[in-house]
Amino acid sequence: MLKAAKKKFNMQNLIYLVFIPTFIYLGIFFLYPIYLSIKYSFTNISLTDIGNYTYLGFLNYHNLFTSGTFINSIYTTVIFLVVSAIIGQMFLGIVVAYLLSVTQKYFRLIITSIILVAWATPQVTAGIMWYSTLSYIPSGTVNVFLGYFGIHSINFLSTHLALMSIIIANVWLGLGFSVLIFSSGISGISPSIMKASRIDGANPFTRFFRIVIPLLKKSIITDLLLITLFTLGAFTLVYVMTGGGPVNSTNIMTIYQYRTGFSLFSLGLANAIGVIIIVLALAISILYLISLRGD
Amino acid sequence: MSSVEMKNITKMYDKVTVLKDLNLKIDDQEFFVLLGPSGSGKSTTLNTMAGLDTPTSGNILFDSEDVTYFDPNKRGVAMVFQDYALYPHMNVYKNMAFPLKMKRYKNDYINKKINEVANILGIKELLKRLPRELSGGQAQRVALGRALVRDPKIFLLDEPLSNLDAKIRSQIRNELKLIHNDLKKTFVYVTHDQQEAMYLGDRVGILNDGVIQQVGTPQEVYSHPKNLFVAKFLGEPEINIFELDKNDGGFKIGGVPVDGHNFDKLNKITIGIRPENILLEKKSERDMPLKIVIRAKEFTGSGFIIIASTDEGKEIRIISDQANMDVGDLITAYIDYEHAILFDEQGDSINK
Ligand SMILES: Nc1ncnc2c1ncn2[C@@H]1O[C@H](COP(=O)(O)OP(=O)(O)OP(=O)(O)O)[C@@H](O)[C@H]1O
Ligand SMILES: [Mg+2]
Repeated sequence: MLKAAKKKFNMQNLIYLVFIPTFIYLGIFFLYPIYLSIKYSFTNISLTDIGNYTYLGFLNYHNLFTSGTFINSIYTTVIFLVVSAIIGQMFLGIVVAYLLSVTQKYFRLIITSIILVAWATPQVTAGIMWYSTLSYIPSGTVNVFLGYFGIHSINFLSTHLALMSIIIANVWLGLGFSVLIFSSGISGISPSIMKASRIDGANPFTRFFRIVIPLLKKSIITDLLLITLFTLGAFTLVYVMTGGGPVNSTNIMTIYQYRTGFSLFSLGLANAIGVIIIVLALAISILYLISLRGD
Repeated sequence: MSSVEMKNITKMYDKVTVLKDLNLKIDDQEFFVLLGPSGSGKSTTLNTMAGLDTPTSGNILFDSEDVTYFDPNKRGVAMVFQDYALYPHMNVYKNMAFPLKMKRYKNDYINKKINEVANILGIKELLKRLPRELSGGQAQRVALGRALVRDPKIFLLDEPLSNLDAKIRSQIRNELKLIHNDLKKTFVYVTHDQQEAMYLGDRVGILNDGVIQQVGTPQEVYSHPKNLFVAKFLGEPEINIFELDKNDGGFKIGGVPVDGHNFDKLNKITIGIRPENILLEKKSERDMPLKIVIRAKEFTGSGFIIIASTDEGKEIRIISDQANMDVGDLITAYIDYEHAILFDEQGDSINK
């Protein structure tokens, strides 16, 4: 018996050997860059002279949190996140998935495919598409359409409307993912539970809020976690559509970071922004995971 | 007061016809059992009664009111499912309160009602538990409770005992019968278990391939099956079947002619004889002898099941309260003519 136990022990140790390449890979390509990023965020390293830099302590962070542009950027990011990801993609995603679940098979297939095509579209393509849809001068598709009805052209990418426009574009882009997650969540609910709730007198509305949503809790958290990370990291779509403008109105943190690094060449500052984004993402993720622990 | 009538119900999914011109009349306060093999359309029938599904054609009447297109919650029915269908995120109390909340009853009333029903079902200690903390038997009691609190006109039960082990099953089965006696409500109960059907049903309807084969009291359908399907589906061990070809203008078993008229037009008949109606001693001159070899004896507690084969190699089963023979013995048994059931070539029963 002792021999068997010993053998098992050895086997288990062997399994760790298999993971060694993975650990090395993670170390080189994941942890080390993050370490560098954190290190540089405390320096004045510049893209023009990467070899020479001095440590500044928390100066970069101090400068960021006293800069109106950065605070505005955080604010823009939070609005973008809450409205486009949490309300738009997540909530709309549940509603669409629920509606699809009660519709006919073929209809469901067609709609799901259309929504997924959006998700599979490369972000640059999507950005250009949305730009030409919403463009003011020359008139984009929407404005041409409005023109038919004698309605004045609207500048969807103006200071006031640009944030709303990128939010809509991002919902369009990401909705498919949420619909997919919730569709599989809904198909995991036992049909007899849905039947029982109908017999018990729950109308579709009550059923949605009192049965479907509570039973989708795990899917909701999974979805929230992923789309929050996607949205915090969103860049291409917004950069193509607005470049962060006009007048910083769509200057989400990733765009601000990119400009700081590659227009102002200030890598130290850019890395500090990156660290803040990572900390923010981690904090939100942990929050979600804690709320899952209840069951 | 609630009778149920299904008139010419046909149900199709895409191009597959699941129920074919089904007619059924269930009386007020009756315990009606719908019995059939898997896929025969039992759940579909129950779902159309409940309003979870609408028939492709035909009408459903509750007390002569046409409810064919009524929503489930307008029909005043309660339903119990095979997999219990408790709401996983609500505790037992909330599960039972849910249908009452939907009807906007006052909390006092809900509380009183739940306690009352919980007492009847012996689930009072479970009220705070979540469904996943219940055993199968407890979960099904709770599901039953959720149906009972509503005071529905009609109870619909879709194989509620199938997932339970034998002991709990017979226990809840008995309770169900008592509850029905107390409540005097209409029950429609779906099962594929013929013993359960016989035990519970005031009447049993046998369904096969979306067609009602026969409706009657358990005794009627057991002793006077309308066709071979019903004869074979009911009874354990299965009924013994002998197929006979016409010989010299008549049908014979062991040299003894099968008594009966109306045989003129038939070239073939089938005789069905229940295991308990094969005799070890001749009772009448019309009983037909079978030369058999004993293959096995099974003790059932109250008697024996004898498995034997005829000289044509056909396996038959006999139920007998005594078995003073040994495996390998060659004996003569007799088909009790009085209880033999005759079928024509189509498998429909015929008069003797
Ligand atoms: N929603 C549906 N779409 C297509 N076919 C269906 C649907 N529901 C049931 N059927 C088919 O209808 C037939 C009858 O199904 P039903 O569930 O009524 O049988 P059942 O007698 O309850 O069987 P079981 O004992 O297995 O529950 C089956 O052949 C089944 O495949
Ligand atoms: Mg069924």
